[in-house]
Amino acid sequence: MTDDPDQIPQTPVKPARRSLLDRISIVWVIPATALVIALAIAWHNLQNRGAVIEIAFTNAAGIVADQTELRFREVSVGVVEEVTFAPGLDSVVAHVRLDKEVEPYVDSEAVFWVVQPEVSARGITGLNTVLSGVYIEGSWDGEPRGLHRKFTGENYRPIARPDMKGKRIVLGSTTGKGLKEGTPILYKGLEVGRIGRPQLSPDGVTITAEAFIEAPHDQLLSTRSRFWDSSGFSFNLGAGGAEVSVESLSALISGGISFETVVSGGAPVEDDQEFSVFASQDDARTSLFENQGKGGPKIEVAVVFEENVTGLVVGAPVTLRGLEIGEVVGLTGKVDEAQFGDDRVRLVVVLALEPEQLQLGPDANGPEAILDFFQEAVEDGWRARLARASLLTGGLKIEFVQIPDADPASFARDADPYPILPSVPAEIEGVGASAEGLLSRVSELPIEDLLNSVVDLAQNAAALVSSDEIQSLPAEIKGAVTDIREVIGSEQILQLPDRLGAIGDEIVAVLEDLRAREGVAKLVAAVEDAGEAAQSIATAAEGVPALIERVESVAAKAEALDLEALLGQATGLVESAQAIIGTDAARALPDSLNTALGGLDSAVQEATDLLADLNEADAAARLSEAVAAAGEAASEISSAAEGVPALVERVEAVAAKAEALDLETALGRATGLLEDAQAVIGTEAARGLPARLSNSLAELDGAVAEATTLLASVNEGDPAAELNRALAAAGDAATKVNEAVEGVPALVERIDAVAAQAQQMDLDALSAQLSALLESADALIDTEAARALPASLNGALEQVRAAVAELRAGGTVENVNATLVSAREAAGAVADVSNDLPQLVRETEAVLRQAEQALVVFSDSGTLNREARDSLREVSRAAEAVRSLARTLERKPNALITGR
Amino acid sequence: MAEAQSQSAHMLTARDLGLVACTQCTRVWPGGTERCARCGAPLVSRDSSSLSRVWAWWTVGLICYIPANLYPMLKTTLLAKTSGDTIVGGAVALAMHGSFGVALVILIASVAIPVGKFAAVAYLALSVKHRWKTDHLKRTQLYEVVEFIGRWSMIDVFVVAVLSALVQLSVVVSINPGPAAINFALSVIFTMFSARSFDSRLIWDSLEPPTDDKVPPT
Repeated sequence: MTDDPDQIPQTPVKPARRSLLDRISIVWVIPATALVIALAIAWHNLQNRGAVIEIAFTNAAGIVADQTELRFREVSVGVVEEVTFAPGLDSVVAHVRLDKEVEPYVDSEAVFWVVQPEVSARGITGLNTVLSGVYIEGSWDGEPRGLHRKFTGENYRPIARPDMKGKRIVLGSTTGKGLKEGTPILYKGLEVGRIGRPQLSPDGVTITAEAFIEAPHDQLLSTRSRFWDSSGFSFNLGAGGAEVSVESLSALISGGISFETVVSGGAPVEDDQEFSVFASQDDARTSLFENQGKGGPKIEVAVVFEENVTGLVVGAPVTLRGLEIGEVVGLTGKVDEAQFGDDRVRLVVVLALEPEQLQLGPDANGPEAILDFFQEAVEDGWRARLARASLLTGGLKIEFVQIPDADPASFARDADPYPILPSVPAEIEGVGASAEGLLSRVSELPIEDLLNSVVDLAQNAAALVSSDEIQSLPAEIKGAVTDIREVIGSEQILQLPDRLGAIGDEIVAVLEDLRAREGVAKLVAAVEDAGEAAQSIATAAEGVPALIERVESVAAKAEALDLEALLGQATGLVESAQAIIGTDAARALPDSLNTALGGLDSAVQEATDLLADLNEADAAARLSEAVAAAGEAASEISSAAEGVPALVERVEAVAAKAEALDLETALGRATGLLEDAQAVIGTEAARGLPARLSNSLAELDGAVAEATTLLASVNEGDPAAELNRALAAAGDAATKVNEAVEGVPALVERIDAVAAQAQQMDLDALSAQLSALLESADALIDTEAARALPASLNGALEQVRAAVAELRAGGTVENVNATLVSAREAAGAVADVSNDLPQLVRETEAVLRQAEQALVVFSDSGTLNREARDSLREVSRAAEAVRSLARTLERKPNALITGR
Repeated sequence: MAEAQSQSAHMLTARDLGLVACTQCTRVWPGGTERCARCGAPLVSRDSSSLSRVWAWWTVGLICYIPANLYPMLKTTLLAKTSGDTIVGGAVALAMHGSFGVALVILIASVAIPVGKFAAVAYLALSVKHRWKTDHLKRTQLYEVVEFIGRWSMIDVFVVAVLSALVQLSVVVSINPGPAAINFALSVIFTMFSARSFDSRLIWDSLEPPTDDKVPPT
C-alpha cells in the first residue's frame, strides 16, 4: 500500500456524539408551538361548549339543524344541532347546543318558542325571520338554578317573559268580546299590558284570558279595579253636540281593554286574580258602585208569582230599597197542586242574593244567618214584588218592599229546592201607558203658540196704551162731564123746584076749590093710573137681581173683550151722548122748559085768580075734604120721600164699594156698561127723546095756555072757592114733594164731587171711578124697564098730552067738576097707593143691598176674588212646573229615555 | 473501486470535484470556502439540518391544513342569512350547481396541490433520509415543480381576500373570510418553507456509499 507522503494517514475518529439540541433544529419550535396552540384551542372549545338541551315542539316549522339559533334577548346563545322526532312521533325535538355562560340559567322555569314572522293589525313582528329563517327564542330569569335539559316549547309567544316584572291576571267575560290575543290593555289610553290567548272555560260559560300588566303600571291595579272593552269607538249625540271618541287607532282595529281604579280601598292584586271585562266604561263604573262585593258567596231563594212577568229576564236586578242585592238567575213555570192548591201555572223566579250586600255583620254571613234575616223580614211585612226597572223599556226587576198591612205569609225556609219568599202583586199596570201619555202630552203642548200669543198681547197693550184714543179719553170724559154740569147747573133747572113749589101752592088752592066742587073723583082716577105706574116701577125694580146677573155676565163678557174694543165703544158712547146732547132738540130743551114754565106761570097766575074767586064761593068746604085726602096722600108721599136720603146714602155706599174695585174689573164692566148704555142711548126712542120731550113741553105749553084760558073762563064762574081747598091740599103734597126733592141737590153735589174727584185723578183712578159710577148707572140702564124707559116716558108724555088734550076738549065747567070729582077719587087712590110706597122703598132698599153684596163679592176681599187669585196661583204653579220640566229636559234630554 | 470511479465519473457531482456552489448566486467556489466572496452567503456543500427543518415546517403546515379544511373558508351573508362553506363543501356545492369547471379549479388549487405538495415533500425527505437509489433526476425535477407550484396555492386565499374586499353590501350580501382562510394561508406558507428548507443536493448523495465523514475519498 503506497500512500502519498503528505498524506496523513487517516485515523478513524469517532465523531463526538452530538447533543439532542444539536441534532434537533431550532425550527421544531414552530410546529411545537402550533401544536400547542391548536391543542389549546381545541381544549378551550371543548371546555366552552355548553350542554345540549332538548326542546320539544309540535312541529319544527323552519327549524334547520346547525343553522337555527337559540336567542335570548335577541342575542344568540346557542344553535340547533339536530332535529329529531320524539318517541311516538308526536313531537319534534330540537337539540340545542347552549353557550356555556347561559347554562346555569336555563332552569326548569325557562320557556322557549319559535319566532316566526307575524303580521297583524297591531304591527309586524319577526320580519327579520322572513330572510334569516326562524329562530328559537328562549326566556328565563336571572336566577341560576342549574341546567335543565328537557323542555316543551310553547306553541305561541307567551304574553310575558319569565323575567318581566308585572302582574299576571285573568280576565273573564261572558261574551268574549274584546278578548283577543295580543289585545292591548290600556290605562288612560296608554298601553300597559297585553292579553294572552283567550280560552273557553270548561263549563262553556265564560271566556278567560291571561293578561299581563307591566311594572310599574301594575301598581295601578287593585281588587277594585274595573276592566271594560274599549274597542272601536263610541258615538254620543248630546246637547253639546256629537262626540266621537276613539281610544287609539290600534284599539279601533284590533280592540282594547281599558281599566281604571276609581275608588280606593282595594287590596293589592295577587297573581292570577280574576277580573270581569264589562261592555262599557259606564257598566264598569256602575258595577263598581252597585256591586262592590261581586263574587262573594251567594244564596239562592225562589219567589212565586202568579202574574205576567213579561219583561223579567235572567240577570234582572233584585233590589232592596234601591240597593242591588242580587239578580235573577232562573225563570221557570211550575204546576204543583199539592203546594199551591190548584193546577194553575205559576212562575217560579230563582234569585241569587249576595249576602255581602246586606252587611249583616261579620259573624252573620253564613247562609243560616241570611235565612234567619229573611224570616224576620217576612214577619215584618217584607215581600217580593215585581217593579219596573225602566220606564221606557218595560224591563222588570224584583224589589223587596215592606207592606205594612200585608196579608200574613211565611217564609218557606225548607222548601225544595230553594226557600220560597212570599210575593205581592205588582202595581205596574198602566205605568208604561201613562208614561207614554205624559210624553205625548208634553210633546203636544202648544208652547210656541202660547209664546206667540204672549208676544202679541204685549205688543197690543203697548200699542193701546200709546194710542191717541186712550190719551185723549180723559179729556173727552172731562168735557162730557162739564157739559152735564152745565145743563144741571143752569139757572132754569135750579129755579124749577121753587117754581114747582109756587105752582104747588097754587094747585093746593085750586084743589081746595075742586074738592069743594066734587071734581076730585077724576083726579083720583088719574092718581090710580099713577099708582099703576108705580106698581110697574116696583115690578121693574124686582128685575134688579136679574140685573146683577146681567152685570156679572156683562163683566164676564167684558173680560173677554180687549181694551181697544172697550175704548172704541166708550168713544162711540161719548160720541153718541155728545150727539144726543148736541142735538138741536136737546139744546132747545131748556128754552122749551122755560117757555113751558113761563106758560105755567101765567096759568098759575090765572089759577090764582080763579082760586081767589073760588075762595069767595062756598065750594071751599067740599074742596077741603078732597084736599084732606090729598094731604093724607101727600103725607104718605112725604114718608116715602123720607126714604130717599137713605136711598141716596145707600147709593153712596154702593159708589164707595164700587170705588174700591180694581181697574181691571172696572174696565171690564165699563165695557159691558158702555155697550149697554150705547145700546140704550143708540135706540131710536132715546134719540127721539129730546124731540119728544120738546114736543111734550110744547104740548104742555099749549095745554097750560088752554088751562090759562080755561081758568080765566072759570074765573068768570064761581067754582073757584071749591078749588081753593083742593089746591091747598095739593100745595101740601107739593111741599112734601119739595122736601123729597131737597135730596136731589145733595145727590147732584155727590155727583159733582165724584166728577171733581175724577177730574183730579190720574187715568187709573179715573177709570176706577168711572167704573164704579158706570156700574151704578148700568144697574139702572140695563134693566128692561130702563130700556123701556124712553118708550114709557114717551108713553107718559103721550098720556099727559092726551090728558091735557082731553082737558082742553072738555071746555065746560061741568067737565071741570067731573074732573075735580075724579081728582078727589084720584087723591084717594093716591092715598091707597101711597100706603104701598114705603113697601116699595123697602123693596128698593133690599134690591140695593143685594146689589151691594154683589159688589162686595167683586171687591178685593170678596170670595170670588180670592178664588180667582187661588186659580191664578194654581195656574202660576202649573206654569212653574212646566218651566222646570222644560229646564230639566233642556239639561238632560236623555232623561226622556232613561227615565231619570 | 474502479467501478466506483467510473460510476462517479459518469455521474460527477460538484462535491466530487471539491467544489461548492453558492446557493444564492450560484457561483462555484473551491470546496472549503467559508463564504461566497460575491454575495456573502455562507457556503455549505451539504446542509446537514435540512431534513430536520423540512419536517418541522411540513408538520406545522399540516397542522394548519386540518382546520383549513374543517372550518369554512368564506362566510357569505346573503339577505341576513349567513352561510359558511368549507373548501371541499364549496367545491361540491359548485359541482352540484353544475359549475364543474370552477369546482375543479378549486379542488386542484386548494386540495390537490397542497396535498400533493405535502406528499411530494415527504417523499423527497424520506428518499434522502433512506438513500433510495431511484431516479435522482426525476426527484430533482419533482422538487423543482413543488417549489414552483407551491406559491400558486395561495390563489385561494387571494380570491377570498379580493371577494371580502369587494363584496361588502351590508345586509344584502357580504362576504367575509372564514377561519379556514387564515389557516389555509398559513398552511401554504409553511409548506413553502418546508419545500425551501429541503436541500435538493442531498438527492445526489445516495450515489455514494454512505460514509461517516462525508469527505469524499481522494
